[in-house]
Amino acid sequence: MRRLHPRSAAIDAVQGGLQFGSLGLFGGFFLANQAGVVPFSVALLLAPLAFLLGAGYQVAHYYRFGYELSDEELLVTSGVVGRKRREIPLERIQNVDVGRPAVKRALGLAVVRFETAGGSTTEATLDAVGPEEADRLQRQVGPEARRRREAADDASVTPGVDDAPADDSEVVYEISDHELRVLSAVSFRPGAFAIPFVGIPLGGEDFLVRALRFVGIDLQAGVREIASLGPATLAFGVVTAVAAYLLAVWVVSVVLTYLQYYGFRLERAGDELRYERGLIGRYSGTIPLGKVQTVRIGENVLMRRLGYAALAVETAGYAAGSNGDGGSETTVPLGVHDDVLELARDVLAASDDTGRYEASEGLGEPDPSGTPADGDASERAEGVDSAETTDTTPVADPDFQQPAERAKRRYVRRYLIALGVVCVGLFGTGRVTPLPTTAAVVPALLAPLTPLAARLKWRHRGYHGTEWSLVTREGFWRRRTRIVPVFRLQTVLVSRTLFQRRWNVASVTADTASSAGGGAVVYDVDPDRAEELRVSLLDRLDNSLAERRRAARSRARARATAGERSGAGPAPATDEGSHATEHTDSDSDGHRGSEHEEPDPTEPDRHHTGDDDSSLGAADPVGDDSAAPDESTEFEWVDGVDPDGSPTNGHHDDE
Amino acid sequence: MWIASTLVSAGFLAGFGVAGDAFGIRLPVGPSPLALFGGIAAFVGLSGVVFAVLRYRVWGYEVRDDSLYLVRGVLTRRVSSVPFVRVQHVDTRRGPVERAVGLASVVVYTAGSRGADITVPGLTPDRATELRERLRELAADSEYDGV
Repeated sequence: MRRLHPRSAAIDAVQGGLQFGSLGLFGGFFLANQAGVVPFSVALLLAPLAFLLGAGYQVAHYYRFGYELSDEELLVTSGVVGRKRREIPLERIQNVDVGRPAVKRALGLAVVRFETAGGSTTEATLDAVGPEEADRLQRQVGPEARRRREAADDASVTPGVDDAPADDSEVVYEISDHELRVLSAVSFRPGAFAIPFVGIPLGGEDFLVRALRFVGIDLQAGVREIASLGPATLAFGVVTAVAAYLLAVWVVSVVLTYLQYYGFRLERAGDELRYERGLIGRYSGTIPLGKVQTVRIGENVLMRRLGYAALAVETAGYAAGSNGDGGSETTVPLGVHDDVLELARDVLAASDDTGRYEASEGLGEPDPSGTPADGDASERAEGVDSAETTDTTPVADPDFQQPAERAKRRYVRRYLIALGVVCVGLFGTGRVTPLPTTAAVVPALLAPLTPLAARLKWRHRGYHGTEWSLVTREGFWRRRTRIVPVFRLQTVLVSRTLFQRRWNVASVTADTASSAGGGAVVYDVDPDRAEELRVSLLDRLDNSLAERRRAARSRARARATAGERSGAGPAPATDEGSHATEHTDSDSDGHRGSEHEEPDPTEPDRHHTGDDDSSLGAADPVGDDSAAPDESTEFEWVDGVDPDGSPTNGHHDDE
Repeated sequence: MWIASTLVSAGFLAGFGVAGDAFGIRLPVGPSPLALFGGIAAFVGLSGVVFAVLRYRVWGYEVRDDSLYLVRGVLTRRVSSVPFVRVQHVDTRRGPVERAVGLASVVVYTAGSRGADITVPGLTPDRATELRERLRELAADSEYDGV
């Protein structure tokens, strides 16, 4: 068993000691002064005792904590009082993240996190190991283990990559200084809104009061006098305050973003993505492409205007919100729109091992979603509703289906109601506070804007279904386009709230195992269409799963025949060193049923009954094109006729 | 195309109505005028019953040949399909109230992020067991590991 880095033990010991120590200190003081139970001298002793206790616990924890990485699993044992032993099969690990926050980085330490799909927390955290060790773990769990498995499988999936040496990786994306600056300027972090408040107790209050006095408002004068001020001064004061606040938020946001994404780069090594980022704390992580659940493209208003977009890849690994540094599943924080789309396409193509994705030119479609970025800006400038912009919408955006027309009216209604509530609320507070009741008029002034707002909302919501994926889009301020590969669907849910039923619309939620932000939602479409979508999604899920299964089986068979031919073990000698282990791997792989294959004897039956399309089922036995490892032939069975049907059948009989 | 049998849950009304009434009766405890609270209790109880009836009427499930199909929801009407491939495991559950009225529920778990577990309430214990076994078999038949 390996241990964590000794220096981490030292830090933890000091930390634990201080925690307990301060607790002991306060506890002691309390007992001596307030309660008077013990004499002061005894109380004074409590603090160092507690310190020792805390430090001791951490040291014990260090000695009890061990981990071991084998070819197949990661073993972690821990626990001082209750002992825990955890084995994680490597193929189940979704992401490996290495974090080096400022302090740990200074001490030459790194925290390694392993994420799996199960559970709501990080599966295993190694806090902390040396940077080289972190690198080694990341590499061994990720590409190397997979390569070994794949070599055991068959090289047909990614033929070129398998032979490549371990550290061969191409930089897919690297943030430029310019982009980083743009990104910092245009991204708004919700967290930043709270931060100016943190400043208030730290002398910010004084500053605030002075600033307000500068514009003519004296807080200390009391509420009555503020009310007696002229409305002009008051309005000016409020506007300045809000502006100052927003400016502060923006500055904080810029700084945080800059620090977070400084030096961001994304590499693709074989079948996984690897990112690195951060100025003070350095973070890196891996995303295996085979585990991609959803790809999300996010653009806020400014980004769209400037023609940029961000890309996020969702896997099942991250527990929502467990990563304090936020957005760590982000793959590309900012890139030129088309480049981002290109990358999204690559990622999706690579995530599907049947290669089906490329066959159905699926994601040519979100491309048009880029064009309205420019169209949007001009339209917004143009002004409100106007029939001709509505007409141009389908032209600019041919493949996205928008929600039903009436949904627009629904949004108008909704906004009006919201405004009404704010009006009433303001009026109410105006009655009991010196706030002028006329303030209630302000939201009413916004009412004429509701059709515009509703239109924008409507315009930016939409969906597009391909044979291969479902693409949904929502949001004007922060537009998110989600691309859900159909074979990742978990459940399909059609829901209609009371209000939606009144408007006769429905929403369709396509749920995946992605842990970030839930499923893709198609809002407010016609119920008939929703039902249609639901059925077709399920159908496509079935088909794509069947296809994947066939692909997996054909791969398994190709491997088996390759094994027969070469007599022993898998033929491709990719890695001399691990040849022996490869062999055992290939044996156990078959029983265990790894990610890519599930040789279930009952499956063929299910196919014939389950597939509504009989030609698909009939093509099934022909599908194992073990004779032709060429990828392109893999999806020809969709036509039901395999050109070299008889030779493959021969192979089939061999087994 | 679908050879599935159509099963609609029964007896759900009873359980929920009783629960609603029990909730309503507990309310009157208080120093305020009994009439007011009685009124509230009656209202709550009545609406509870109405709600339960509606809910019972809306609730339905169907075992289709590739997925479990459910319709539910009084205010928000939800139609979900759970492909058997995605079923992780299936439970039968009998809470104290359910046991008292002789009912059971089946809980179907998926790996999804929202609504990951789906409960089919108000089944007789035998039927619940049967449904569970059936789902388990179907899920096992369509085994494919997607995560």
